[in-house]
Amino acid sequence: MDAFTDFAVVMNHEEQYSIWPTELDVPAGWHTVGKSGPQQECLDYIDEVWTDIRPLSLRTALGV
Amino acid sequence: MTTTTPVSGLQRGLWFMDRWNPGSAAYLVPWVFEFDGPVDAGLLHRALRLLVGRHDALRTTFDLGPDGPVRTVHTGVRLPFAEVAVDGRAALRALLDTETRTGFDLAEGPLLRATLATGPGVADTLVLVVHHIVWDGWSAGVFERELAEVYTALAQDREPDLAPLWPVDDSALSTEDSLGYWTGRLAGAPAELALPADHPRPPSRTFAGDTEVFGLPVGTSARVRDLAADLGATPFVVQVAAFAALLHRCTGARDLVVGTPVTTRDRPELADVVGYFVNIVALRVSIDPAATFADLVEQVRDAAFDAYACLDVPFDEVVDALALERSARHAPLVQVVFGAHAEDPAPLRFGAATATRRMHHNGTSKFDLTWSTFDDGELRGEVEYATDLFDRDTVLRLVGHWRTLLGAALDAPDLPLWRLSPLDAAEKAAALAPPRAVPDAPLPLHRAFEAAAGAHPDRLALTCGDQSWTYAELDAAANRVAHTLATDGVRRGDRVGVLLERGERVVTTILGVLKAGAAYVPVDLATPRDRADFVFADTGVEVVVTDDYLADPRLAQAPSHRPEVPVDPADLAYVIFTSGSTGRPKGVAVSHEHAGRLMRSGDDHFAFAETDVWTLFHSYAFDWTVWELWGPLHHGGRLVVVPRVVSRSPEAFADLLATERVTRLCLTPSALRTLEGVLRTWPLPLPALRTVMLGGEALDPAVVRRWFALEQCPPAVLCNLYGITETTVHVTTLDLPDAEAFGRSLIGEPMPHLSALVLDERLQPCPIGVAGELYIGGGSLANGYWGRPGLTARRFLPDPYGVVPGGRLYRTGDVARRLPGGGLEYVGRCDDQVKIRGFRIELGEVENAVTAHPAVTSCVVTVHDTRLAAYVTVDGTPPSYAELRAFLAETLPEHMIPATATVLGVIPLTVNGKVDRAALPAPDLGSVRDTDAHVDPSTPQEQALAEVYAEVLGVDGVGAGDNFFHLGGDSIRAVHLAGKLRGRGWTLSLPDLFGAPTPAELGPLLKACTGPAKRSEPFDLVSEEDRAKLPADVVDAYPMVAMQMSMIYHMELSDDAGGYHNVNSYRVAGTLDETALRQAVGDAMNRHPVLRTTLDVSRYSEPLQLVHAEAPVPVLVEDLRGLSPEEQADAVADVFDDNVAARFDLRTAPLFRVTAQHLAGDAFQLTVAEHHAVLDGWSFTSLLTEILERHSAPGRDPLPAPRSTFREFVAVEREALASRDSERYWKSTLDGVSGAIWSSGPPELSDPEIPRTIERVIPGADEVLRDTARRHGVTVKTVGLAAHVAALHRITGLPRFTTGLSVNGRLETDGGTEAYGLFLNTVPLVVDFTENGADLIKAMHEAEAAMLPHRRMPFARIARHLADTRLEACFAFLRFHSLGRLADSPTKLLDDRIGCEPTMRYEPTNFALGAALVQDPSSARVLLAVDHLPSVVPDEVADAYADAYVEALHVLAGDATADPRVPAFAR
Repeated sequence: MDAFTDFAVVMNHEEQYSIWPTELDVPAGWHTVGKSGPQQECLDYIDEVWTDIRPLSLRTALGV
Repeated sequence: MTTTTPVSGLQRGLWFMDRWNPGSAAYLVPWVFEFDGPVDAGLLHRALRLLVGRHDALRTTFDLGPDGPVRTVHTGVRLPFAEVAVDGRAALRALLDTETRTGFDLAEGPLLRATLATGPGVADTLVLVVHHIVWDGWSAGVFERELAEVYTALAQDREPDLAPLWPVDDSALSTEDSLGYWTGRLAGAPAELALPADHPRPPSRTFAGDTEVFGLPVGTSARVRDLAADLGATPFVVQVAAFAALLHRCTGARDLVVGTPVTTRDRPELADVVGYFVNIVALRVSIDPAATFADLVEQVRDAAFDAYACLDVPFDEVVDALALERSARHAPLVQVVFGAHAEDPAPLRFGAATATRRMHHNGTSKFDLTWSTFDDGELRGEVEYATDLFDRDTVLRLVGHWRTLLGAALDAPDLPLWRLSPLDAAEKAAALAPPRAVPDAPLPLHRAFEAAAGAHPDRLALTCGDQSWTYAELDAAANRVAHTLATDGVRRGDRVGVLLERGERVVTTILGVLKAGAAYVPVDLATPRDRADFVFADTGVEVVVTDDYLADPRLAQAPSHRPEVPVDPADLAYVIFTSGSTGRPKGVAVSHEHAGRLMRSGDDHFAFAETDVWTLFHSYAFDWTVWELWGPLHHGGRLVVVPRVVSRSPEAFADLLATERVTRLCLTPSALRTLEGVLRTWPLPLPALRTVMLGGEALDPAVVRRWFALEQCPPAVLCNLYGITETTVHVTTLDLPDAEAFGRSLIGEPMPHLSALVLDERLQPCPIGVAGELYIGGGSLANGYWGRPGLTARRFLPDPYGVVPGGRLYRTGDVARRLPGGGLEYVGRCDDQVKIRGFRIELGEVENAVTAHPAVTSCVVTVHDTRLAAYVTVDGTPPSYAELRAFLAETLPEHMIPATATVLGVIPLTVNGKVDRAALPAPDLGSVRDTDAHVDPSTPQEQALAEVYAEVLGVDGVGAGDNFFHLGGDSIRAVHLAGKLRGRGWTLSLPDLFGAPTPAELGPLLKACTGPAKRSEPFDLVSEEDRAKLPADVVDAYPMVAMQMSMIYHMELSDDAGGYHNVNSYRVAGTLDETALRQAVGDAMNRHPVLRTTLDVSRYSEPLQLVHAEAPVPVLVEDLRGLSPEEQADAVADVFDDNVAARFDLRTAPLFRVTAQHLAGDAFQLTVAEHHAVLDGWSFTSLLTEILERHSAPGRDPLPAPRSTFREFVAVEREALASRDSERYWKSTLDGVSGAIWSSGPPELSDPEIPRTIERVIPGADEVLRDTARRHGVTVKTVGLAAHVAALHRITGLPRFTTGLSVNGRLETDGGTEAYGLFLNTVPLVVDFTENGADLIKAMHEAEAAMLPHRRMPFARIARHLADTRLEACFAFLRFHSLGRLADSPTKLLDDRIGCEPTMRYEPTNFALGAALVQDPSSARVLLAVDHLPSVVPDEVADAYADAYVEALHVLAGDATADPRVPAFAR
């Protein structure tokens, strides 16, 4: 993972965010959200947009 | 006639390997011819003899000469040839094995032998075994062709048709350019390529090996050729590039060195000759995984091209030039060799029969791996591998990987390397296996408990101290907590803090919080307040359950029924905080389903039962307790709370295990170690214990061994559990039914609900055995870090290999490798991988090695000041650092051995039971291997070693802790060392030296040897003709040494015999006994041939010295008693003057005389005159000592004859004269510089001038010299030399000049110092003055070290390389040990200066300025004596020199980084 320099912000059906090297195919069940760049930049972006790390289904069940 | 020459540079390496492992079979070429019809043994024998006679190489033997290995070509043909009858194939096989595993004695020869095996059921088979040092692959082709031709010709009775042979000169020396290429190219190259091996490297390699052959897909050869052609490279380059790419994949190394054999037969006359003409080329390859394979091929192509242009430097010389850290464990620089060979398999005709040929593998391996391919139109391969390291399966796997990688590279040379996988489809599938089971969404944790409570309401669920609760009671208590929390506003999805004393309340509280629909956030009571506040604030905790909270009476009044709060499996169950790398703790948010899947999966493995008794041993802030809680409470088992006070007392804890009949125990390895200690001193059978589950930190094998070695070992299975909070407690399990199953840190297989992948830094699967980062996927990955989305995203990645779309993979930061038999090995933390001196080191590996010491019970290794620091606890007496070090050296390479070992009473642990590295004290520096301090050698072995090191390396004052290689030793000096030691009666094996390079370490490994060394005999060095002319009374004769000749040459030319006429006069305390003095002098003359020697320059074919059977004892005695002191002084001066005036006749023995004058009853004057050509300073002072000692003890037994002779030195000097190495050294070093400082123009012949002498006693110089020498790691002599150079610079202002250095060429044989004679030489040192004192000392040290091997080349010869063949300045350091003996003698020298100087001295000099630093051996006082010729160096200049010398010495001592030219007072 450390050998890669360019990453994309990706998300799955539970709205869990992660990062993924642009050199590799995005794994099944994940999609990019239009943000890419160096790792830290992507992580900073995620810090901003992903406010609750609980999966979507749980947040829905709790009504938050 | 035989001829002896130095071996070729290429042979030197092989010769050394043979010395390393004498008679080893590793460098045999075992070669088998199989005939399809009968052959005539007689003809075959004749044909072989003819070829042995034809090729010099096959008649050559090898031995050690004084300047290194030499080879002798013999005239006679000797060829061991045997005809053996064998019965069947098995017998033939056995014969081949025996034949091909028997080595040669290189010094004895012959280095070829042949056996013809015939018999029923086998084809006629010829086995040729030849030593590689006279043979290469090309030779095989030449030899087999010629053998077939000669045999056939003999059979046909005709002359064989053989190509004419031309003389071969393989003595070409390396060129500076080439050597420069290699040292530049290989500077800083990694010393070792650490391929993942099956076995740790043994401390000394054994060369045991095996060979595997393999095929490559049809058409590969053509595809390789095509790609090579496209890229302008050779097929070899393409193959070796793919091999280097594989090595990178296996090691992670990006800078690697692969050796390749290259023939040096670049001239037509070498085409038909048998011999060794192969160099090993070290190809240094730099791997960029992002570059394409084609890029790599081009890089290797260019490197190979450059390398081939510099083939003239033998590999061995490259290694020496690089001054690599040597090791007995592996070959230097190159451990892996790749060769691509063309092959002509056409059968050969032997008369009517046809022969096929093959190599017979003889169970050896020259390197770690030798990878060879053969191309006869299709490619096949062969791997010779060291069985020390590799198992066959591993090699086969490696072969498969190369095949796959090469195929992928040929398919897509333009893909980046990292995309070329060495794994085939099946291997990839195995490497990326998904979880074996995906359990359904389990019940929420408290619901599963409620189900158990429903099934077993009356079973005991919980015990704490003497209280117990049934399931129904516990359920009710938890319900009350839940209701109370709800009253306080806690709702589903909330977080509730838990901050409690350890006890049953922890259990009710956790259950209560979950029942309330909330997640618990545990904080240990021992946690600092700030951190607790942080944790609760971070998770939005509004209610914290404390002991006070639970003590509130409203708890008891709360309802006991189960609250009706809906909870989904996806709801959070807990948020547990772990320390973060930035210091900010991070909360891992885990759902019910995550823990539920873990428990389900655990039940599959451990079969939890209602009969189980568990302990709640750990802090509930540690996620182990998740396992400890639900293991019993989901299955009707009982949980025993271990009160804090009990958890702190190992004895009380052991007692609790016994009395509560605990069946399931969870411990950290540290806690297991403690428990084991208790059970060792206080055995308890613990018969109920079924499982001990170990986790939380790496398990080291020593703990496991000790546990199973317990006298009453509980009948429990140990289970190693590797786990991570982020993937919910446990990941892998490995059951250890006994100690055998656990050699290293194995962690087993992932639990069924998880996958565990070992991936490289580009998320590609690592091959089996290759370390990579561990990633975990599957059903119990936590949601992430509470409130830390960025961090969560960084560690929880999309799973590219999972079966569930959208699944995640947790990046552990742990390094692991997959094992061939399945399962994983934990290697360490990514962060624990430290780099020291460029070596990547896993601290865990070092810890395991330390813990393997029998006395060590536990160990932690950290890095302190860029050195490894070990902390140990011990059982019994702690091992000394030296002992521990020696122990570690058996298994660890030098760079992995901790520099300190600190003994602790206990290793500090965190509240979670893990090692608290932050709490470790600073290393105990008392345990440091004190390389700075000089330790005198103590045992006879150490003393012998220290002396021989000093001799071989030309350094003084070697201590017991000095490393041979750090002092400048190299492989050939190592062989010399062994030779010198043999002379002293000790046998040294070279691998021992490489593994234990200090006298202290090596001493115990020396063995007393049997059998004497070779000695020379009288007249050995004189021709028959000369010998016939010698007078009858001559008992020995030998040529003069160069120094003697130049002395006499000077004397003849100047027509004055006084030039080298020395007179020294001493005042001696003691009673003169004339008879005893005569006896002493006479005895000395009997013992020392030089005292009976005359010199003759004209009557023989060369100048000779003749040793006569006897000569008059030259003792004159006068009685001056009764004279006044003035009269006595006059009489003494008269004798002195007479002695100066009375020159010796070189043809009349003896060339010395002694006059003794009674001064008083207890004092006399002793005046000794000698011709310098027979005695040097050492010999003279030794003679003086011998005479005075024997004079005082006249009745004693005569001394034994010296164990060495001057004749031996004469022989050695003659060899030195012939040394090409030395010639080359002096030529390149001097290169026409001038030795003059004050004069210009050619030297003029002048009468010897009596020098003026300045003498300065330098108070305190002994200490100054010693301290300075020690600080810079050099000898006292070097410091003295540096001061001389600084002083010369001061008086001349020259930035570059040449000074002579007086050196001693005595033999290093045992007793080498006992012979008297002229062993002196003066060598020139070219000085580039540097103003920095430390640099100056270093430069002098390096210059001396470089010069040492060449110091015996006589100055007369060296002077040819000086512009003006003279030296004007010279420095000598004199410390005549023998005089030290007189300190305890009844007769001693009286000298109020330093204690050993003569009262009067007449020693003419040839140097314009000669300085000697003289140290008295008994008082250690130091005198500077400067002799100068006033006609060249005026008095005031010489005085300034002496001043500058003393000053420079003190400046160097005070602050060696300062400019030694600046006087101390001026700064």
